[in-house]
Amino acid sequence: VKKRFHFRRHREEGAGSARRGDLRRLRLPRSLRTLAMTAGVGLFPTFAKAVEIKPVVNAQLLGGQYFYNDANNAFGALASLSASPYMKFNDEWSLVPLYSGNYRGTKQVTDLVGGGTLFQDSQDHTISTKLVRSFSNDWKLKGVAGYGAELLRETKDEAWGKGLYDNRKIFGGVEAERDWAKDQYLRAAYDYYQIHFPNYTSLSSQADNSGLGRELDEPDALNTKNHSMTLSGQIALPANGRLEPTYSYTRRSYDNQFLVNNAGALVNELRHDSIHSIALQGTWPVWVESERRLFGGLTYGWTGLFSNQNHYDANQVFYNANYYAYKTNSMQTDWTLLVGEDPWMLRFTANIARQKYAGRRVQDATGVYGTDVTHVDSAYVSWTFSYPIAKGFHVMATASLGWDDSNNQYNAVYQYHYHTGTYLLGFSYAY
Amino acid sequence: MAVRGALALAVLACVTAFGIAAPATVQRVSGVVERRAPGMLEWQAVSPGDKIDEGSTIRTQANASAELRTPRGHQFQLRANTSLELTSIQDDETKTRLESGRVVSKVKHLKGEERFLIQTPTAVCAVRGTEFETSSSDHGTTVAVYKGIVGVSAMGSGAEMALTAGQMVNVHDGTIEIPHPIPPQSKNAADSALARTARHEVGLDMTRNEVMAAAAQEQRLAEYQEGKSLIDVEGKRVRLDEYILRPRPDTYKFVVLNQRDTRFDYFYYQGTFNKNLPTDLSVALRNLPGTVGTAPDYYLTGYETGQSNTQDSVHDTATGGHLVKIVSDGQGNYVLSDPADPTNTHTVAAATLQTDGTYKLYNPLTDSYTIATAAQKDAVSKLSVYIPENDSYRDLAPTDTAWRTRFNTYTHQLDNVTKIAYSQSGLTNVLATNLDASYTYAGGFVLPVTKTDPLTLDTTITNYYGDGTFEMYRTVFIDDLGKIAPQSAFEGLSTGASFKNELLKWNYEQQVSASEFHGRKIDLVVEPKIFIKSGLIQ
Repeated sequence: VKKRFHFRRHREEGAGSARRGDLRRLRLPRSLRTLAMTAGVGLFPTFAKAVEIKPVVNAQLLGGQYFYNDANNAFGALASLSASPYMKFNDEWSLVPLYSGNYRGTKQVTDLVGGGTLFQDSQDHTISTKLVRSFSNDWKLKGVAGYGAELLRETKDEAWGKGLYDNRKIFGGVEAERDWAKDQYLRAAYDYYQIHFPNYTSLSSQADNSGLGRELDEPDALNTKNHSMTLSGQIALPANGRLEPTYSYTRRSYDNQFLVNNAGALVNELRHDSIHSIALQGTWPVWVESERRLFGGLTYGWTGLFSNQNHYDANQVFYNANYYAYKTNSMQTDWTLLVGEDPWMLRFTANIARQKYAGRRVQDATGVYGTDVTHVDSAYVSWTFSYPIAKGFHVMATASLGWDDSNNQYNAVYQYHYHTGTYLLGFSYAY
Repeated sequence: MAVRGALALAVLACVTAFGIAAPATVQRVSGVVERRAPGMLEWQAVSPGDKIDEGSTIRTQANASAELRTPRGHQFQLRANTSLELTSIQDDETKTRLESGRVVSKVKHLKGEERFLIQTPTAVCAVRGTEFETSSSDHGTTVAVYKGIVGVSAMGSGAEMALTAGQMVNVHDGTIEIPHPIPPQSKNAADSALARTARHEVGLDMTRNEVMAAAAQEQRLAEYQEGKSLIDVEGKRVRLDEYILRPRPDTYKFVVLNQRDTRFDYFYYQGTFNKNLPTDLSVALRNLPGTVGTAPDYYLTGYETGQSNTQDSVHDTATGGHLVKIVSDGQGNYVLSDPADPTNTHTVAAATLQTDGTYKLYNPLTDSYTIATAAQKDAVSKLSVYIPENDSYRDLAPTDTAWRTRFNTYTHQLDNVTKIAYSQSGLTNVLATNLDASYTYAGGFVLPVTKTDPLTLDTTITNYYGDGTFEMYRTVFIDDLGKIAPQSAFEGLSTGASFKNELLKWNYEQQVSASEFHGRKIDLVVEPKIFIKSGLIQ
């Protein structure tokens, strides 16, 4: 998701570009089972007798370079790790503890680029635990809770933990899933999450001491509370294809952000956003032999954001109602070629998207507002090659190109027109 | 986990004709591959070309593989850690038993009643001209079909399921799961139901994490698009917020706030107008720089600007604001008049040749003088005026009537110390300050010195005062990355409408230092429009 905001599903076979490989079935001795129960699942000691643990691990370490409008950035590294000791206590209960983390020492073409920092360094860490109750009629009920932190060093003067847009997420949710066959399921989920920006305080709330503050200006203007509902599934298509439809709705509340009116003043009403998102992803085997397989995929995505917040540009003395609302349409195609018993893989992805704002007016190069509404077009292509070198290990090479364009010509504070490129080389590991 | 069911054998389509046993041939060997003849206990190494008799078992070790071909032309590709017994190698029947591991079978078109079977501890696969892969482990059997059709049945069950090309299925505990497409990057061996479930659940959690990360990034994107986070000339983040306040019905205040890691700077401009302001401020503010043609409805009667780093300050105030009408007499002079007092008028020469050959040029819009050489005279004489209809600037034409606001008093202070001030010298409104006002300077005079970088738009103006103090303004025009605008971007423009229109494409950073600040400075990044409109940028 960059500013295109469409979400890539982590399919069970293909999260990351490397094959996950076999999972090892572990039978723990009684002492270790007891320890595991005490440490992680103390609430369910009776399950300890038969606990099975399936580790799921994915890791990547890549190094490369990023280009922005033909200017190259310094070499940087990307590293990611997700690890879960999936625990099955019996046919009814299982637990999914998960850690996932990323370090980004260089940008990728799908990252936020137009904000204009050539120097970027970030890391994020998320831990979560999900309890799953399985029923004999193919239904599963799940409860999940977790916590995440994202740290950013976007400029030369920011240190770890001091980034302006560092954020913390706390989340919990429930989910029902009916899995009537392998790769065929339907699920409905409700998630609640809060996003806090601990280092962000609105400037105007800090200006009270100078006599320049505004009434109703709260410091934590970016913090949000989110209620999200998701319906998704995976069903079979003709010709051995499969379809993954997803619909989600999110109600986002800004409890510290008041609306601005056409006089440029804040009024005593809080901002609320509603986000609807639909994704349809189809995948078909195009050519399948034992050691040569080609799969093609097509994804259509639509996102609509609706907000009651407006915008007042004090510099231009211009009131822009319905400034934040937009609709995004995107199309993506993926082609994956696998060759060999322990296959090497070549994947090609191409994506185009248009984000059209409902009321955000275009600006010319000097900032003057026009009558058209702003749209932002983006496209990217990427190639990924991975080759197995040992059990679970692959060498990887990936190259990507991205383009952004818009009918908004004002680039003094945000770049609407640019092209980027990235190449990365490294290793991946899956267990 | 409960284990269900007994295992049984189900058989499929086939045969009748009675065939003759003949050995299979080893086509290819990689790594350690061994065979055990029927009734024997010891294992022997296998080489390409070896014959494997009916009833023999062939096995591969870790990282090994082998390929066999039967006299009928059927092929078996054995993967690592695989054990396969050649139960029957007849013209009319090829039957094997896969104890463990993975085998890809490439089956020739079957003749008549010919049968091709692979049996595992949990399943039987019967084939009708096909290419398929079978894997067997403690968790059951997985069959993936690449070409043709394979009939699959669970041990102990008579029911057979026909699996077509592109499909795979898992057989375990006496049951056959519903077939599904062969997924990308599938690895059949040991791909147990538990492993798939674990990956499925982890995948769902990772998707949730991505959604939340996208939400946080979207909020960050909005901040960037609204210009609330920029990079200054030193590569540091500078947060920017601009908004307006309305302290009184006839007054508005424009506020710019900057924050960096260790500092907070602000600028404000408060204007008091001749009448109450409308809801849509732009109606009044488009008159702020003055008008061309008709007199403006709104004009300032006073203003106040301030810049501060919360410790030091630059403070300017003006009072007694009134309109001045400016016309050209067509003879090289500007005629300035007071619409409220027709007797109050001045005629000022646009250019005066001085004894050193330079020209003293009068700008009636800014009420200031500039010294220019003969070569510079025409360019410097171009005066830009703001055109509110299209929110841009154009050069003033000789036939234009311009309207500007003048003030009767003005004070410029640093840390509350007055450095420059003027007040009207008579009873009439000030039309031109050098004619109608009395100036005072700290120490009696001020000497401005300008230093300009030859390559970039980086200019420093230092005012030296008669009392030995100074104030210094460094102004740079930067893009959103903090990169200073090159002189080439302005193509030699230094004044006039084109210059101002180009300035609007850049961000403006001004660093102020002064004797009174004792080494500290005020450092502000703003979008430049308000500075141009308010006359701080000439």
